[in-house]
Amino acid sequence: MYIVGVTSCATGIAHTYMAAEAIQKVCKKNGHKVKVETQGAMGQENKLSAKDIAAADFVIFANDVKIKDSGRFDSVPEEKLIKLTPHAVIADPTIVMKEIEGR
Amino acid sequence: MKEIGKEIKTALLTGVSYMLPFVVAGGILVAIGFAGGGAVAVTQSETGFWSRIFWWGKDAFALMVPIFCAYVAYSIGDKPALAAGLVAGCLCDDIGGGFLAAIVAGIIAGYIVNALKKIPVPASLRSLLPTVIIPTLSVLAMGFIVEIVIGKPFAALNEAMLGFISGLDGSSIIILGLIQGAMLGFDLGGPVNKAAYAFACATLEAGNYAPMAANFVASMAPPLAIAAAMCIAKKKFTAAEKSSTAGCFIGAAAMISEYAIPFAAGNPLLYVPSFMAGSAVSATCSYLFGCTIQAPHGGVFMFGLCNKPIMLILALLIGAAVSTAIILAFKKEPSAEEEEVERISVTE
Repeated sequence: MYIVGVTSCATGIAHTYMAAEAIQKVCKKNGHKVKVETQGAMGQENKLSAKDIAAADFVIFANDVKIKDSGRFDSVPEEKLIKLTPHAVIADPTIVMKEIEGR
Repeated sequence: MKEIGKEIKTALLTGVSYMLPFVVAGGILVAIGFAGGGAVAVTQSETGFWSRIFWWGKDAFALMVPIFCAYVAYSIGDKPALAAGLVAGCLCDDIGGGFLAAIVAGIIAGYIVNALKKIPVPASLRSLLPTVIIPTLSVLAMGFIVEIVIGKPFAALNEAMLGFISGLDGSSIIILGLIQGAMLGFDLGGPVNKAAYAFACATLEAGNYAPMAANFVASMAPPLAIAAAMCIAKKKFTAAEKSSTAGCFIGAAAMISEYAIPFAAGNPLLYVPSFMAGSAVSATCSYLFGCTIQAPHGGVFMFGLCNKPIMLILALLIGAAVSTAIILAFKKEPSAEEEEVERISVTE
Protein backbone atom coordinates (compact mmCIF):
# COMPACT_ATOMS: atom_id res chain seq x y z
CA MET A 1 0.00 0.00 0.00
CA TYR A 2 1.02 3.62 -0.42
CA ILE A 3 0.33 5.69 2.67
CA VAL A 4 0.77 9.44 2.90
CA GLY A 5 0.48 11.64 5.96
CA VAL A 6 0.61 15.21 7.24
CA THR A 7 1.72 16.14 10.76
CA SER A 8 1.60 19.43 12.66
CA CYS A 9 1.71 20.73 16.25
CA ALA A 10 1.44 24.11 17.95
CA THR A 11 5.14 24.89 18.42
CA GLY A 12 6.20 22.95 15.34
CA ILE A 13 9.58 21.78 16.59
CA ALA A 14 9.04 18.43 18.28
CA HIS A 15 5.67 16.67 18.10
CA THR A 16 5.40 17.38 14.35
CA TYR A 17 8.62 15.55 13.55
CA MET A 18 8.22 12.79 16.13
CA ALA A 19 4.76 11.97 14.78
CA ALA A 20 6.12 11.93 11.20
CA GLU A 21 8.89 9.56 12.23
CA ALA A 22 6.45 7.30 14.05
CA ILE A 23 4.20 7.04 10.96
CA GLN A 24 7.16 6.34 8.69
CA LYS A 25 8.57 3.67 10.96
CA VAL A 26 5.33 1.79 11.51
CA CYS A 27 4.44 1.84 7.80
CA LYS A 28 7.85 0.62 6.70
CA LYS A 29 7.81 -2.08 9.34
CA ASN A 30 4.55 -3.37 7.86
CA GLY A 31 5.96 -3.25 4.34
CA HIS A 32 4.10 -0.19 3.05
CA LYS A 33 5.45 2.70 1.03
CA VAL A 34 5.11 5.96 2.91
CA LYS A 35 5.58 9.71 2.54
CA VAL A 36 4.92 12.19 5.34
CA GLU A 37 4.71 15.95 5.01
CA THR A 38 5.63 17.96 8.10
CA GLN A 39 4.04 21.34 8.76
CA GLY A 40 6.25 22.59 11.57
CA ALA A 41 7.78 25.92 12.51
CA MET A 42 9.77 25.91 9.25
CA GLY A 43 6.62 25.63 7.13
CA GLN A 44 5.83 22.73 4.83
CA GLU A 45 8.60 20.19 4.32
CA ASN A 46 8.58 17.04 2.19
CA LYS A 47 5.43 18.39 0.58
CA LEU A 48 2.87 15.96 -0.82
CA SER A 49 2.16 16.52 -4.50
CA ALA A 50 -1.21 16.06 -6.19
CA LYS A 51 0.23 12.85 -7.63
CA ASP A 52 1.15 11.53 -4.17
CA ILE A 53 -2.33 12.24 -2.89
CA ALA A 54 -4.07 10.69 -5.88
CA ALA A 55 -1.92 7.57 -5.65
CA ALA A 56 -2.33 7.12 -1.90
CA ASP A 57 -4.34 4.24 -0.51
CA PHE A 58 -4.72 6.05 2.79
CA VAL A 59 -4.15 9.61 3.98
CA ILE A 60 -3.24 10.11 7.63
CA PHE A 61 -3.64 13.45 9.38
CA ALA A 62 -1.87 13.77 12.73
CA ASN A 63 -2.45 17.44 13.42
CA ASP A 64 -3.08 19.83 16.31
CA VAL A 65 -2.93 22.83 13.97
CA LYS A 66 -5.07 23.32 10.88
CA ILE A 67 -3.61 21.56 7.84
CA LYS A 68 -2.12 24.00 5.32
CA ASP A 69 -3.33 23.77 1.74
CA SER A 70 -6.13 21.51 2.92
CA GLY A 71 -7.83 21.94 -0.47
CA ARG A 72 -5.38 19.37 -1.84
CA PHE A 73 -7.24 16.68 0.07
CA ASP A 74 -10.77 17.66 -0.99
CA SER A 75 -10.90 14.82 -3.51
CA VAL A 76 -9.86 12.18 -0.97
CA PRO A 77 -12.91 10.10 -0.02
CA GLU A 78 -13.84 9.96 3.66
CA GLU A 79 -13.07 6.24 4.00
CA LYS A 80 -9.45 6.81 2.95
CA LEU A 81 -8.92 9.65 5.42
CA ILE A 82 -7.65 8.82 8.91
CA LYS A 83 -7.69 11.66 11.41
CA LEU A 84 -5.44 11.35 14.46
CA THR A 85 -3.45 13.62 16.76
CA PRO A 86 0.36 13.79 16.92
CA HIS A 87 0.20 12.75 20.56
CA ALA A 88 -1.81 9.58 19.80
CA VAL A 89 0.60 8.56 17.02
CA ILE A 90 3.72 9.12 19.13
CA ALA A 91 2.32 7.29 22.16
CA ASP A 92 1.32 4.26 20.10
CA PRO A 93 2.40 4.20 16.43
CA THR A 94 0.54 0.94 15.82
CA ILE A 95 -2.70 2.93 16.04
CA VAL A 96 -2.06 3.85 12.39
CA MET A 97 -2.14 0.21 11.31
CA LYS A 98 -5.14 -0.52 13.53
CA GLU A 99 -7.07 2.31 11.91
CA ILE A 100 -6.18 1.09 8.42
CA GLU A 101 -7.14 -2.50 9.21
CA GLY A 102 -10.42 -1.26 10.65
CA ARG A 103 -11.43 0.30 7.34
CA MET B 1 -20.95 18.14 19.07
CA LYS B 2 -17.61 16.34 19.48
CA GLU B 3 -16.62 17.48 15.98
CA ILE B 4 -17.21 21.12 16.92
CA GLY B 5 -15.18 20.69 20.08
CA LYS B 6 -12.26 19.32 18.07
CA GLU B 7 -12.65 22.06 15.47
CA ILE B 8 -12.43 24.75 18.17
CA LYS B 9 -9.46 23.09 19.86
CA THR B 10 -7.62 22.92 16.53
CA ALA B 11 -8.53 26.57 15.92
CA LEU B 12 -7.09 27.73 19.25
CA LEU B 13 -3.86 25.79 18.71
CA THR B 14 -3.58 27.16 15.18
CA GLY B 15 -3.95 30.67 16.61
CA VAL B 16 -1.25 30.05 19.21
CA SER B 17 1.01 28.47 16.61
CA TYR B 18 0.96 31.49 14.30
CA MET B 19 1.15 33.94 17.20
CA LEU B 20 4.32 32.51 18.79
CA PRO B 21 6.93 34.18 16.52
CA PHE B 22 5.35 37.58 17.21
CA VAL B 23 5.37 36.99 20.96
CA VAL B 24 8.96 35.82 20.99
CA ALA B 25 10.39 38.48 18.65
CA GLY B 26 8.38 41.27 20.26
CA GLY B 27 9.06 40.26 23.83
CA ILE B 28 12.78 39.79 23.32
CA LEU B 29 13.23 43.09 21.45
CA VAL B 30 11.30 44.92 24.17
CA ALA B 31 13.50 43.28 26.77
CA ILE B 32 16.69 44.16 24.86
CA GLY B 33 15.52 47.76 24.62
CA PHE B 34 14.87 47.82 28.36
CA ALA B 35 18.23 46.26 29.13
CA GLY B 36 20.19 48.60 26.86
CA GLY B 37 18.49 51.91 27.42
CA GLY B 38 16.74 51.65 30.78
CA ALA B 39 13.13 50.57 31.28
CA VAL B 40 11.70 54.05 31.76
CA ALA B 41 13.91 56.03 29.42
CA VAL B 42 13.22 53.99 26.27
CA THR B 43 9.45 54.32 26.63
CA GLN B 44 9.67 58.10 26.92
CA SER B 45 11.72 58.59 23.79
CA GLU B 46 10.89 57.92 20.15
CA THR B 47 14.48 58.16 18.93
CA GLY B 48 17.79 56.62 19.90
CA PHE B 49 19.17 53.16 19.30
CA TRP B 50 17.70 51.30 22.30
CA SER B 51 14.46 53.17 22.10
CA ARG B 52 13.93 52.19 18.48
CA ILE B 53 14.56 48.51 19.28
CA PHE B 54 12.03 48.80 22.10
CA TRP B 55 9.39 50.27 19.76
CA TRP B 56 9.99 47.65 17.05
CA GLY B 57 9.45 45.00 19.68
CA LYS B 58 6.34 46.83 20.86
CA ASP B 59 4.96 46.76 17.30
CA ALA B 60 5.59 43.02 16.97
CA PHE B 61 4.00 42.51 20.38
CA ALA B 62 0.98 44.61 19.42
CA LEU B 63 0.26 42.14 16.62
CA MET B 64 0.05 39.21 19.03
CA VAL B 65 -3.69 39.38 19.76
CA PRO B 66 -4.77 40.32 16.18
CA ILE B 67 -2.70 37.50 14.66
CA PHE B 68 -4.01 35.00 17.19
CA CYS B 69 -7.60 36.01 16.47
CA ALA B 70 -7.00 36.01 12.71
CA TYR B 71 -5.67 32.45 12.66
CA VAL B 72 -8.36 31.12 14.99
CA ALA B 73 -10.88 32.39 12.43
CA TYR B 74 -8.75 31.11 9.54
CA SER B 75 -8.64 27.63 11.03
CA ILE B 76 -12.44 27.45 11.11
CA GLY B 77 -13.44 29.43 8.01
CA ASP B 78 -10.29 29.10 5.88
CA LYS B 79 -8.93 31.95 3.76
CA PRO B 80 -12.10 34.09 3.60
CA ALA B 81 -12.16 34.28 7.42
CA LEU B 82 -8.71 35.82 7.81
CA ALA B 83 -9.85 39.44 7.32
CA ALA B 84 -12.74 39.23 9.78
CA GLY B 85 -10.52 37.55 12.36
CA LEU B 86 -7.68 40.04 12.00
CA VAL B 87 -9.94 43.08 12.26
CA ALA B 88 -11.81 41.54 15.19
CA GLY B 89 -8.47 40.94 16.91
CA CYS B 90 -7.48 44.58 16.52
CA LEU B 91 -10.84 45.64 17.93
CA CYS B 92 -10.43 43.28 20.89
CA ASP B 93 -7.17 45.06 21.73
CA ASP B 94 -8.71 48.53 21.25
CA ILE B 95 -11.47 47.89 23.74
CA GLY B 96 -9.21 46.23 26.30
CA GLY B 97 -10.64 42.76 25.88
CA GLY B 98 -7.21 41.32 25.04
CA PHE B 99 -6.51 37.66 24.60
CA LEU B 100 -9.69 36.38 26.23
CA ALA B 101 -11.97 38.40 23.94
CA ALA B 102 -9.88 37.36 20.94
CA ILE B 103 -10.53 33.68 21.64
CA VAL B 104 -14.28 34.21 21.42
CA ALA B 105 -14.11 36.76 18.58
CA GLY B 106 -11.92 34.50 16.44
CA ILE B 107 -14.27 31.54 16.86
CA ILE B 108 -17.33 33.68 16.05
CA ALA B 109 -15.62 35.20 13.00
CA GLY B 110 -14.80 31.74 11.66
CA TYR B 111 -18.35 30.47 12.01
CA ILE B 112 -19.88 33.67 10.60
CA VAL B 113 -17.76 33.27 7.48
CA ASN B 114 -18.76 29.62 7.20
CA ALA B 115 -22.40 30.70 7.39
CA LEU B 116 -21.89 33.45 4.79
CA LYS B 117 -20.36 30.93 2.40
CA LYS B 118 -23.78 29.28 2.24
CA ILE B 119 -25.64 32.39 1.03
CA PRO B 120 -27.47 31.34 -2.12
CA VAL B 121 -26.31 33.57 -4.98
CA PRO B 122 -27.09 33.19 -8.66
CA ALA B 123 -24.29 31.54 -10.58
CA SER B 124 -23.55 34.71 -12.53
CA LEU B 125 -22.77 36.55 -9.27
CA ARG B 126 -20.89 33.64 -7.71
CA SER B 127 -17.53 35.40 -7.82
CA LEU B 128 -18.93 38.27 -5.76
CA LEU B 129 -19.26 36.02 -2.73
CA PRO B 130 -15.57 35.65 -1.81
CA THR B 131 -14.44 38.96 -3.29
CA VAL B 132 -17.05 41.40 -1.95
CA ILE B 133 -19.88 39.89 0.07
CA ILE B 134 -18.02 37.74 2.62
CA PRO B 135 -15.23 40.24 3.43
CA THR B 136 -17.60 43.19 3.80
CA LEU B 137 -20.36 41.48 5.74
CA SER B 138 -18.06 39.48 8.00
CA VAL B 139 -15.93 42.48 9.01
CA LEU B 140 -19.07 44.58 9.53
CA ALA B 141 -20.61 41.88 11.66
CA MET B 142 -17.46 41.45 13.75
CA GLY B 143 -17.36 45.20 14.37
CA PHE B 144 -20.81 45.11 15.91
CA ILE B 145 -20.18 41.87 17.78
CA VAL B 146 -16.87 42.85 19.35
CA GLU B 147 -17.77 46.42 20.27
CA ILE B 148 -21.36 45.92 21.35
CA VAL B 149 -21.74 42.32 22.48
CA ILE B 150 -18.51 40.74 23.74
CA GLY B 151 -16.37 43.83 24.30
CA LYS B 152 -17.55 45.15 27.66
CA PRO B 153 -17.87 41.84 29.52
CA PHE B 154 -14.43 40.72 28.35
CA ALA B 155 -12.76 44.02 29.18
CA ALA B 156 -14.20 43.63 32.67
CA LEU B 157 -13.13 39.99 32.83
CA ASN B 158 -9.61 40.89 31.69
CA GLU B 159 -9.34 43.55 34.37
CA ALA B 160 -10.72 41.20 36.99
CA MET B 161 -8.18 38.51 36.03
CA LEU B 162 -5.26 40.91 36.37
CA GLY B 163 -6.63 42.33 39.60
CA PHE B 164 -7.00 38.79 40.86
CA ILE B 165 -3.41 37.85 40.02
CA SER B 166 -1.82 40.99 41.43
CA GLY B 167 -3.99 40.64 44.54
CA LEU B 168 -2.96 37.03 45.14
CA ASP B 169 -0.90 36.24 48.20
CA GLY B 170 0.00 33.38 50.50
CA SER B 171 -1.92 30.20 49.86
CA SER B 172 -3.73 31.37 46.73
CA ILE B 173 -0.47 32.17 44.94
CA ILE B 174 0.77 28.70 45.82
CA ILE B 175 -2.33 27.20 44.17
CA LEU B 176 -1.80 29.30 41.05
CA GLY B 177 1.84 28.24 40.90
CA LEU B 178 1.01 24.56 41.35
CA ILE B 179 -1.67 24.55 38.65
CA GLN B 180 0.32 26.63 36.17
CA GLY B 181 3.49 24.57 36.71
CA ALA B 182 1.69 21.23 36.52
CA MET B 183 0.06 22.27 33.24
CA LEU B 184 3.43 23.30 31.78
CA GLY B 185 5.04 20.01 32.82
CA PHE B 186 2.12 17.84 31.71
CA ASP B 187 2.62 17.62 27.95
CA LEU B 188 5.87 19.57 27.44
CA GLY B 189 4.93 21.90 24.60
CA GLY B 190 1.58 20.29 23.77
CA PRO B 191 -1.88 21.85 24.02
CA VAL B 192 -2.11 21.94 27.83
CA ASN B 193 1.35 23.49 28.08
CA LYS B 194 0.40 26.07 25.47
CA ALA B 195 -2.76 27.02 27.37
CA ALA B 196 -0.64 27.82 30.43
CA TYR B 197 1.88 29.67 28.25
CA ALA B 198 -0.90 31.75 26.70
CA PHE B 199 -1.94 32.78 30.21
CA ALA B 200 1.61 33.92 31.00
CA CYS B 201 1.76 35.84 27.68
CA ALA B 202 -1.57 37.54 28.34
CA THR B 203 -0.45 38.75 31.77
CA LEU B 204 2.94 39.79 30.37
CA GLU B 205 1.22 41.87 27.72
CA ALA B 206 -0.92 43.45 30.43
CA GLY B 207 2.11 44.39 32.49
CA ASN B 208 2.25 41.70 35.17
CA TYR B 209 5.58 39.89 34.83
CA ALA B 210 5.37 37.31 37.64
CA PRO B 211 3.52 34.51 35.76
CA MET B 212 6.13 34.59 33.00
CA ALA B 213 8.95 34.06 35.47
CA ALA B 214 7.08 31.02 36.79
CA ASN B 215 6.57 29.90 33.18
CA PHE B 216 10.33 30.09 32.56
CA VAL B 217 11.41 27.82 35.39
CA ALA B 218 8.53 25.38 34.98
CA SER B 219 9.39 24.95 31.28
CA MET B 220 13.10 24.51 31.97
CA ALA B 221 12.80 22.06 34.86
CA PRO B 222 11.79 18.87 32.93
CA PRO B 223 14.78 18.64 30.55
CA LEU B 224 17.13 19.70 33.36
CA ALA B 225 15.67 17.04 35.66
CA ILE B 226 16.09 14.22 33.14
CA ALA B 227 19.62 15.34 32.24
CA ALA B 228 20.57 15.46 35.92
CA ALA B 229 19.03 12.05 36.52
CA MET B 230 21.10 10.57 33.70
CA CYS B 231 24.29 12.08 35.14
CA ILE B 232 23.58 10.83 38.66
CA ALA B 233 22.40 7.28 37.93
CA LYS B 234 24.10 6.20 34.72
CA LYS B 235 23.09 2.57 35.18
CA LYS B 236 19.39 3.31 35.13
CA PHE B 237 19.38 4.54 31.55
CA THR B 238 20.14 2.89 28.23
CA ALA B 239 22.98 4.09 26.02
CA ALA B 240 20.59 5.67 23.53
CA GLU B 241 18.85 7.58 26.31
CA LYS B 242 22.15 8.85 27.67
CA SER B 243 23.20 10.10 24.23
CA SER B 244 20.61 12.86 24.65
CA THR B 245 22.07 14.11 27.95
CA ALA B 246 23.84 17.10 26.37
CA GLY B 247 20.75 17.91 24.32
CA CYS B 248 18.62 17.94 27.45
CA PHE B 249 20.98 20.38 29.19
CA ILE B 250 20.83 22.65 26.15
CA GLY B 251 17.04 22.28 26.05
CA ALA B 252 16.87 23.27 29.71
CA ALA B 253 19.08 26.31 29.17
CA ALA B 254 17.13 27.43 26.09
CA MET B 255 13.73 26.73 27.69
CA ILE B 256 12.69 24.07 25.20
CA SER B 257 10.82 21.52 27.29
CA GLU B 258 10.26 19.40 24.16
CA TYR B 259 13.65 17.78 24.76
CA ALA B 260 12.06 15.77 27.54
CA ILE B 261 9.28 14.41 25.31
CA PRO B 262 11.01 11.18 24.19
CA PHE B 263 11.23 10.11 27.82
CA ALA B 264 7.65 11.07 28.63
CA ALA B 265 6.41 9.29 25.49
CA GLY B 266 8.35 6.14 26.33
CA ASN B 267 7.25 5.82 29.94
CA PRO B 268 4.44 8.31 30.66
CA LEU B 269 3.40 6.76 33.97
CA LEU B 270 6.80 7.51 35.46
CA TYR B 271 7.84 10.72 33.74
CA VAL B 272 4.62 12.72 33.37
CA PRO B 273 3.91 12.85 37.13
CA SER B 274 7.55 13.57 37.97
CA PHE B 275 7.77 16.40 35.43
CA MET B 276 4.44 17.83 36.61
CA ALA B 277 5.58 17.76 40.22
CA GLY B 278 8.93 19.40 39.49
CA SER B 279 7.44 22.09 37.25
CA ALA B 280 4.72 22.83 39.80
CA VAL B 281 7.32 23.26 42.55
CA SER B 282 9.48 25.49 40.31
CA ALA B 283 6.57 27.74 39.37
CA THR B 284 5.40 28.02 42.96
CA CYS B 285 8.90 28.90 44.20
CA SER B 286 9.19 31.57 41.54
CA TYR B 287 5.96 33.18 42.75
CA LEU B 288 6.98 32.91 46.40
CA PHE B 289 10.41 34.43 45.71
CA GLY B 290 8.67 37.32 43.91
CA CYS B 291 10.51 36.77 40.61
CA THR B 292 9.44 38.67 37.49
CA ILE B 293 10.78 38.61 33.94
CA GLN B 294 9.91 40.77 30.97
CA ALA B 295 10.98 38.47 28.14
CA PRO B 296 8.47 35.88 26.89
CA HIS B 297 11.02 33.20 25.94
CA GLY B 298 14.74 32.50 25.84
CA GLY B 299 15.70 30.56 28.97
CA VAL B 300 18.92 31.40 30.82
CA PHE B 301 19.90 33.82 28.07
CA MET B 302 17.17 36.14 29.34
CA PHE B 303 17.85 35.71 33.06
CA GLY B 304 19.64 39.07 33.07
CA LEU B 305 16.23 40.65 32.56
CA CYS B 306 14.82 39.04 35.69
CA ASN B 307 14.45 41.18 38.79
CA LYS B 308 16.00 38.43 40.96
CA PRO B 309 18.08 36.16 38.71
CA ILE B 310 19.68 34.24 41.58
CA MET B 311 16.30 33.44 43.09
CA LEU B 312 14.96 32.39 39.68
CA ILE B 313 17.85 29.96 39.28
CA LEU B 314 17.16 28.68 42.77
CA ALA B 315 13.47 28.13 41.88
CA LEU B 316 14.56 26.20 38.79
CA LEU B 317 17.03 24.04 40.71
CA ILE B 318 14.57 23.21 43.49
CA GLY B 319 11.91 22.10 41.01
CA ALA B 320 14.34 20.12 38.88
CA ALA B 321 15.71 18.44 42.01
CA VAL B 322 12.19 17.33 42.97
CA SER B 323 11.67 15.83 39.48
CA THR B 324 15.05 14.15 39.50
CA ALA B 325 14.45 12.67 42.93
CA ILE B 326 11.10 11.19 41.88
CA ILE B 327 12.55 9.80 38.64
CA LEU B 328 15.49 8.16 40.43
CA ALA B 329 13.25 6.76 43.16
CA PHE B 330 10.92 4.97 40.76
CA LYS B 331 13.03 4.30 37.67
CA LYS B 332 14.10 0.70 37.25
CA GLU B 333 17.29 -0.33 35.52
CA PRO B 334 16.69 -1.27 31.91
CA SER B 335 16.24 -5.02 31.48
CA ALA B 336 18.62 -7.01 29.30
CA GLU B 337 15.73 -7.33 26.85
CA GLU B 338 15.35 -3.56 26.50
CA GLU B 339 19.07 -3.17 25.88
CA GLU B 340 18.84 -5.88 23.24
CA VAL B 341 15.85 -4.28 21.49
CA GLU B 342 17.71 -1.03 21.48
CA ARG B 343 20.87 -2.58 20.08
CA ILE B 344 18.87 -3.98 17.19
CA SER B 345 17.06 -0.76 16.44
CA VAL B 346 20.34 1.16 16.53
CA THR B 347 22.05 -1.15 14.06
CA GLU B 348 18.99 -1.16 11.83
